[in-house]
Amino acid sequence: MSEKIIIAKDLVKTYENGRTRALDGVSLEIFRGEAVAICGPSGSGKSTLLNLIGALDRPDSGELIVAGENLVRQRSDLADFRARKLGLIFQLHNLIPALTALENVLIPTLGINGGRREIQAQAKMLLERVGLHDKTHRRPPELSGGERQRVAVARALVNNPELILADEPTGSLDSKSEKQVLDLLRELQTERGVTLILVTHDPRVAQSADRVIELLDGCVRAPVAA
Amino acid sequence: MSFTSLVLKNLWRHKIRSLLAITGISLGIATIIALGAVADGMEQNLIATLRSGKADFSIGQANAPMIILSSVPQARVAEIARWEEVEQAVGALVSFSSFQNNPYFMAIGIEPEALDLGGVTILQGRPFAREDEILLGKMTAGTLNISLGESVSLDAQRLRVVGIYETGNLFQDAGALLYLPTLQKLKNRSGEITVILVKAKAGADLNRLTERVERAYKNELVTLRSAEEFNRNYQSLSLVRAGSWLVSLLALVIGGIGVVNTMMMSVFERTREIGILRAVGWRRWRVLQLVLGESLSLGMLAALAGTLMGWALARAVVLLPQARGLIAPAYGSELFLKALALSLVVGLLGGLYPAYRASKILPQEALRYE
Repeated sequence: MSEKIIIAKDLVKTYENGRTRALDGVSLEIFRGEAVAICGPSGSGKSTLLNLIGALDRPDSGELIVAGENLVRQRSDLADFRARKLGLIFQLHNLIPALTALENVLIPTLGINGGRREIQAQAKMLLERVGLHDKTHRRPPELSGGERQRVAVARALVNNPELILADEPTGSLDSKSEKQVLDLLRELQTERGVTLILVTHDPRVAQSADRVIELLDGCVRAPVAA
Repeated sequence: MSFTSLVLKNLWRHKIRSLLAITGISLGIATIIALGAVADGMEQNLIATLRSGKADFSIGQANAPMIILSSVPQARVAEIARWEEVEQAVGALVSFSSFQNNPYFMAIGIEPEALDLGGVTILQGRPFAREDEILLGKMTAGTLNISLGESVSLDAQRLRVVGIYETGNLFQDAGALLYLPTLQKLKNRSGEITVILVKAKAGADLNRLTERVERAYKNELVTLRSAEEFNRNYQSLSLVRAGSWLVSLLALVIGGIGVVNTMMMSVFERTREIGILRAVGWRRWRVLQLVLGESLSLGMLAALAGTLMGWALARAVVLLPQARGLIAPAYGSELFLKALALSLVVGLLGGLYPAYRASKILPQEALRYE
């Protein structure tokens, strides 16, 4: 666990023309294969940090290298980076309601040239792995909250990412589903050797990670071992 | 699932809205097909008329708004016939008459010896020899079930059918031929004809001959050898075409606005979805392609529906009793290609702005969007 997959130095991100300082000089390092929880109360800047690491937004200043890519100096659209290196899971699962579970899993691959048959097989295998082999043709409204989030997990893995970023992945689930999804995420992370970053405000969820980074008012508090 | 199937799924999700957008464009396409087929049919008939028989060219009145309104002094026939390059020149009076309850029946007055030059083949009976005799085109005889020897009424004048003819031209075969002086008398147009059919002598230079006619009768007569010349001199066909384009353009603009509206609503409703696509790695260009793919598919489906509607419309026009024998729509591949191209252009233009807006959606903004 020696290679650093994320290096952040003095990250600053402000909103409303600088009036709101969401991140105020965040520095951290995350190693390849780690499961790290970023936790903190609402407004601490954890989702902003996740957006920066996920190349969904850019910092105002600071340095940020993710999976070998300098995201601050990179001026072009970072969509390719997200497609190749990242798997994203959101609190509200963010599936497309009109598409089936299988089609939702395939969505990230539609922009990628490659053998459709292999990709299709990979998507089916992932749905089977998350326990939804009999629900591949169900649409999100026909699935339970836990099942939807498991589809989102499969979608995050379909492009074989180096890094999974999960923003409050169990925030809208009951405790049973929460445990199932967390266990599944850890299993898959270990199996595939990927790095997992969980953003959560729930200390119970944070406990499932190898390490916890706590944010408060846009700053990192002293890292705590889980 | 492929990219194309995602495009079609997105249209299918909002069936009614897609259908309305398709209807908007397809009405324009149907107009183009129907009016275009009618105009093309008229032009083809015209070419056949101008080239019918053994005549090398026709002569009509200069500046007449329509060929049917052309008026040429009959004396010109004899004058031109005397020219050394001319083998034969005959006059014909073309007029709409009332015939067996049809007020728009085309009657052609001609001298019996000019029938051959006019490309007339007698199928039954014989040419007319008297002022009270008439020849019916095979379509007229067939449609109205009239036989040789029967008496018919043309502008309230009783005439006896002595023959059935064919020229291969729709207008003429749906009309009747009669002795020129009879029609002149019936129409009160004594000494007047509509066109002169000219057959040049073998080896005569047709260009020089037509130039000679137009020089000798400047501002009075024009020579007609092709549909282009006809269009240049008589604006009826051009007017039909211009009218058809104007109506079609209007319909297409309305259709285009429908596409913009449909696609804008669709993009607005899918802001969050598009944000998800961008977040999971779709490039702006891919999002642009998705929305343009949807609007182009609307255009393509509208081309298909519009073509069918246009074809049906043109068929319906042909079945109208007033149009029978006068209109034979021509469905050329060029017309269909033009309709398809226009439909795709409308789809593309209508989708451009919504696609641009969609491609500008930021993933982090969209994911916050409720």
